[in-house]
Amino acid sequence: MTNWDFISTNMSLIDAKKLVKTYFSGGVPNPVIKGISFKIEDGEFVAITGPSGSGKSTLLHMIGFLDEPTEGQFCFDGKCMVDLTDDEVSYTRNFEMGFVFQAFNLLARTSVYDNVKLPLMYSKIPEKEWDKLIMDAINAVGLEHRTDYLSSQLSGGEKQRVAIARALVAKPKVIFADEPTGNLDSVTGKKVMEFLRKLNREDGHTVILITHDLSIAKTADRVIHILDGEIESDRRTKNSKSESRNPKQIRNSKSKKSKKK
Amino acid sequence: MKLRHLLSTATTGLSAHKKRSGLTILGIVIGISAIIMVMSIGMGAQELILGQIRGMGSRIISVEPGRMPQGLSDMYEMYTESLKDREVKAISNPNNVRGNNRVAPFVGSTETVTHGNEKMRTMINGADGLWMEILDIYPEKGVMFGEDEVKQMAKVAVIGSNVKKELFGESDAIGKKIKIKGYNFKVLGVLPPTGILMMMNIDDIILLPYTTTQKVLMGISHYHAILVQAETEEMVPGIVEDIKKTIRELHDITDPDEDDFKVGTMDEAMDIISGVTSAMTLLLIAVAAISLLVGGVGIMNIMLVSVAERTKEIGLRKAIGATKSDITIQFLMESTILTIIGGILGIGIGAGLSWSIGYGIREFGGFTSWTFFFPISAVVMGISVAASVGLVFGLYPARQAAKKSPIEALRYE
Repeated sequence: MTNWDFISTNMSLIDAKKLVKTYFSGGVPNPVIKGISFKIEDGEFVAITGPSGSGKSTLLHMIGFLDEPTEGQFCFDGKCMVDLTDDEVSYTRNFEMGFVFQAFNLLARTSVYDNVKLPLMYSKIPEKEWDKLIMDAINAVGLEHRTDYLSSQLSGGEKQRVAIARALVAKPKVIFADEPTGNLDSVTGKKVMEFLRKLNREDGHTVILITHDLSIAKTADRVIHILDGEIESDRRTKNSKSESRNPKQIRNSKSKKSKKK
Repeated sequence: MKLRHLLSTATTGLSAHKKRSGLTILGIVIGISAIIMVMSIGMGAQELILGQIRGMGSRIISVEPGRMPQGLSDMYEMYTESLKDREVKAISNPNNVRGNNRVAPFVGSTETVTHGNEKMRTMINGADGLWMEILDIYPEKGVMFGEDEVKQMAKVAVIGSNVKKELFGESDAIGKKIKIKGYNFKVLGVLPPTGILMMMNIDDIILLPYTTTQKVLMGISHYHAILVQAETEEMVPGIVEDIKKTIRELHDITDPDEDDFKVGTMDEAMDIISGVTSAMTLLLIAVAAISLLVGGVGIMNIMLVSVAERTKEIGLRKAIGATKSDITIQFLMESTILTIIGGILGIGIGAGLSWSIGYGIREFGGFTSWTFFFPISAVVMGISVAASVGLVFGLYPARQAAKKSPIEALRYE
């Protein structure tokens, strides 16, 4: 495939134009997202907040290539979903995006190692590089002492760390986290947030976080608040004043040459 | 995704539900073992029959009265009285039929035979020495009657081992009298225990001169068959033509469709029998295949349950980059592995059962020459049929799985 890097220098990583999502229940239209436009640059740490039912999860699904908008256009790194085949969408999710879910969604009766391996099995990364990538990811979330544990033997916080390791194992550009602390107590939740913060700061991953918890959202550099399917506010937090960084350089310095397409 | 990973993913999925997987393949196991059994026993039966015919030598030609039935109503015409002494004489004449052949008429009947207080109902074969040569059986005690006895319509008999046991028990039978239809016959010889040959249980047979059987016992002037042993094998087709020509002339027949007799060779008989046994085997395989169909529907059902149960897992796999074909192949792999395991078990069970049945036929059924067949083609066919059942019946559930949207699947709690 084409090397997209030269294009992305002129483009935002995430470019949403007048996104509309309408669900139809029994023929009655139920607009969930009512025309949202925004851009997110490579290396940002963005929290999308809003009360439940505001449409923030639906929005995440669209920008995570999991769902198509009813109207409007969404492009990721210069690639617009309408132009891609099903398989290309799958490859993009596998290669450029990592997902962390509220319910962890680990495979039952499967070891931590194998859970983290899962995205690699669907990738084009040569198998000989897998072990290092998996161990790097497990080390990054501090679970090296749990490598061979089954997912059912882990605590909630550990499970979410496995899910984060799985999300970052293929070194994606962006990590989507949908209420990652929703099933965790506040102390564990805080630790998970520190991981995400670290992934953004030190490893150059773009992190897009969905949360209804404003105190969690404060960890991000930018908070987009959604209300009734529209952006109510989009503002930078005080964290964003930190030093200017080049996320691509950071990611590349972390040996990204294993990624081939 | 690489084959190795697909395999391990599929086996992990299956081993999570061992009991269910086992029950699911039961239909396949039964279907495949039934097919293997039918194939093996069918081949055994065919070989048994053909072996017996082959043993009689390909020089034998049989002339029988009647004609091939041209329809159901024609069946009544099968047994006519078209073959009599005149025809035997004409066929024996070297001016009509080439070669120095041996010709022997045959009549058969079922009669009650007694000796003292002992009584049994059994088969009477009216024949001569050629009968023995064809079947290659000779008396183990006493002698066979000769041409003189045949000519004189002597009341003599050679009896099968079972007849001897029924009528005489352990005591000697040679020289004693047996009574058939009020006539006394002197026992000249006793045949060795032989079992079934030419679809006749030789041990139950009483052999009488054909003249005596025809004229004295049955009071008829026709024969049930005329057996001809050709001088050489190469001459058989020519002799067949000569016989047809001779009898047609004798009966004023110009149109071969009007023939009131039929001439058969062993090769033809073998062709017909292989045709019949193959058709029977195919029919039975078709019946057995129905159970495979039922088994396949069972597989489809369980796979659909499995897909529904694993909605979340499928959603997750899709979210992290599995394509539709990745998911399709994963589930197809699961159903195919299931059916292949079922196929292998079915082949083993089918082979075991057909061996046991063959053992029973050999030991208790009297068919001592029964051979156990287990063709490699049956193994190949068994496994490929099982795999195709898995592919065909797994396809719909696999497509259902691949169609699932990741968000719907992840939302599913």
